[in-house]
Amino acid sequence: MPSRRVLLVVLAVASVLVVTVWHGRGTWNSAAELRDATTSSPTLGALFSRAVVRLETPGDTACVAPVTFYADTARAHFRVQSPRKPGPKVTIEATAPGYRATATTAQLPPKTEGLVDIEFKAPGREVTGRFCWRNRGPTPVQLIGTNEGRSLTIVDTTLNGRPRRGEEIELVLFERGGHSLRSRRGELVQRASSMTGGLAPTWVLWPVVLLVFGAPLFVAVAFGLSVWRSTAASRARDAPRADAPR
Amino acid sequence: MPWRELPGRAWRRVRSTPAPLAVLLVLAAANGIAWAAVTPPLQGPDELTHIAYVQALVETGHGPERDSGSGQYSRELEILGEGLYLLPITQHFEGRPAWHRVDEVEAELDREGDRARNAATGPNAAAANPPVYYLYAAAVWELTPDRSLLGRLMSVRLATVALFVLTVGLAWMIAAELFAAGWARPLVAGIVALNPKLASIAGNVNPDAMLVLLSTAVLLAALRLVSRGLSTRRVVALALLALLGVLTHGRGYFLAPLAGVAIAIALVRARPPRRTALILGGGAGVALLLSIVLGAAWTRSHAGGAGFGGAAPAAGSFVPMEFLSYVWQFYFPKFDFLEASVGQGYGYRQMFISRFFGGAVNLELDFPNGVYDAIQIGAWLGLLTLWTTAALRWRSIRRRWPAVVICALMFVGMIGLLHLVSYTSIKAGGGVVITGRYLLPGIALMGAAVAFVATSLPRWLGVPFAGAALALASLHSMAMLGLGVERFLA
Repeated sequence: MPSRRVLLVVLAVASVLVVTVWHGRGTWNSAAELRDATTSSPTLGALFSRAVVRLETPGDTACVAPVTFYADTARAHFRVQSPRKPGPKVTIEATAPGYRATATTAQLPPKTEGLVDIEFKAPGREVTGRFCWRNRGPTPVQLIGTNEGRSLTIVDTTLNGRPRRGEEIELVLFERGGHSLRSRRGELVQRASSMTGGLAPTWVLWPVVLLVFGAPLFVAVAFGLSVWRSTAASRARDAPRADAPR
Repeated sequence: MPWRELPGRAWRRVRSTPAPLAVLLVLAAANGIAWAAVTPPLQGPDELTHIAYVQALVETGHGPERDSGSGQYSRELEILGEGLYLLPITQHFEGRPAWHRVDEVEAELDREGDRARNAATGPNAAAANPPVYYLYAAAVWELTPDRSLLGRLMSVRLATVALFVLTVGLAWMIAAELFAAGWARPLVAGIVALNPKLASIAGNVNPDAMLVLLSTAVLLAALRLVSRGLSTRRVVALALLALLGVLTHGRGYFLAPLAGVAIAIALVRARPPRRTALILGGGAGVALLLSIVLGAAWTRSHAGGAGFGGAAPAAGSFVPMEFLSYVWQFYFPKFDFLEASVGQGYGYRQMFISRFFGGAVNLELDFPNGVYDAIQIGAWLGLLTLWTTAALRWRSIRRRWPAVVICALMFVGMIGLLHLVSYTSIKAGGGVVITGRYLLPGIALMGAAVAFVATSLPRWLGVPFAGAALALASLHSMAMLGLGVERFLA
């Protein structure tokens, strides 16, 4: 028969691990869920104040630059509004030295506003260039962004080659398809390390990741060890505990 | 003791650290470092203002001003914030830092050189805060071998993580002071080490981490004083820690009366000769009073009009009945005879549940509402259990009344001050200045409350109860960090 002490330690370790496994499935599953993998967000949406860049006639073109395309950037999100029937089409063009990719949306639903998700060819290497939208008609299309100072980035916006000061069109770039956080762990650790001034290189962060996400295991060990020691100590003491249950 | 014996003694102390505590300290360090790496620079709560404060101290030797000065922050912080998109992406859930621009921005900072380190003396909202944490951060800022701006920022963040690790050690010692059961120690320390809100604050440049450390230290010193008896060393330590706490943040003002009560209890119980009592009590009283005077003077000179050592943007009029009504309606439904609260619909649920267990990093990291509902139910059950346990163990509680008074007073003092600050701020036309992270100075108390229930149960029930609490704390920590990874890195 195992001693009472051993049983208590088993109870201590098991309680940590069982609850972790029972309630931790959500966290584990969440890390495995496929989700958008952002590569960069050259320009942002509006928090309080919107900017509207209207491509009035077919051929009108708006651009933002500089935009950095990562090697695997192959999807874009932007916000549009189509004011009239029938809904227009929009062609996007991503260009940089030695790289050009285009794609055209389906006909946009009329009199609605929404986020467009469009795929295009990845550059295969990191390049910096520009991203343009061209109205393919037959009706106007409005590109939505922001003009609030706190949300503006370093990007310049033009409409038919003319600068639009203090206005940006919302644009977020992604890798193609969905990716789980777990499958991108190397890239995420690299990103986390990149803004630490070299004080948290990836070889430091990997053990940190193991410790943080293995915490229940370490906590179980620490708690079990503590129960083992305190049970021994309380057995050694003959006196009743001050906080003994009654 | 000769100085040359100090390293040997310190090493023996380190070697005698219990293994479970060592594990928790390492976990706390990992937790803090993880948050420091996951949270992009300048993205912590009000982090830009705190960094600007540190830089003003370093460059000018003076704290910034709240309402005037040469600029909010230096040119190099502007270059960093704009070049890496750190400033625009706040509250933009679609926005990510520009990782690809790090080299470019660092090159620009190099080109700008010392000119970009211009002293930005304000206006700075953090100017009202007393200087202790900022002096600590300024020392790290100056002494770090990494002279790049990102390196300096990370150095201060890591130094703040060190404060968090020390807090965990103090929580362990508080548990040792309060509970005979050894397994209560990893429970209390674990609840502190795994708290994601505290870890995320510790991973940023923020005086709250030092306030939490000093509040926990004051609690430990007060408990030791009332439990182990009066001694000059204990009184001096307590008074000094409370003084530092008050001079760290206006929200630390409650530490001075707490320390005063602890010293009074110790004096009453020890009944020392009148001369000793006068020296110890009077000396501590003067130190505590001095801390409040100094804190208030600092705030007045750097931010005229701010209230409570800068904890409130302004101090408005005080109507006692209105204040009581506001506090009642913060927790409970309104009675017909009460006027509508001035509290702007902000109450118990927001402060104790959604903003304490969630809302990390500028309230950008949040769980679904269902999670907060579950936590709220758990919190009510926990309070009920605590109440029942206290009632059942009333005799034991009465026997240890000094420690119980200290714990209760710490909680009431902390919450009371927060309500007072928020009420007067609202009355002065400001906002509700009360949020979940303001509860962190009492985090060790929260752990102690859980441990009190756990150690009161039969051991075969108390141990798994404690284990389950630790598991939930671990999961909370991992889930919140996961949200941080998704928000800022994915």
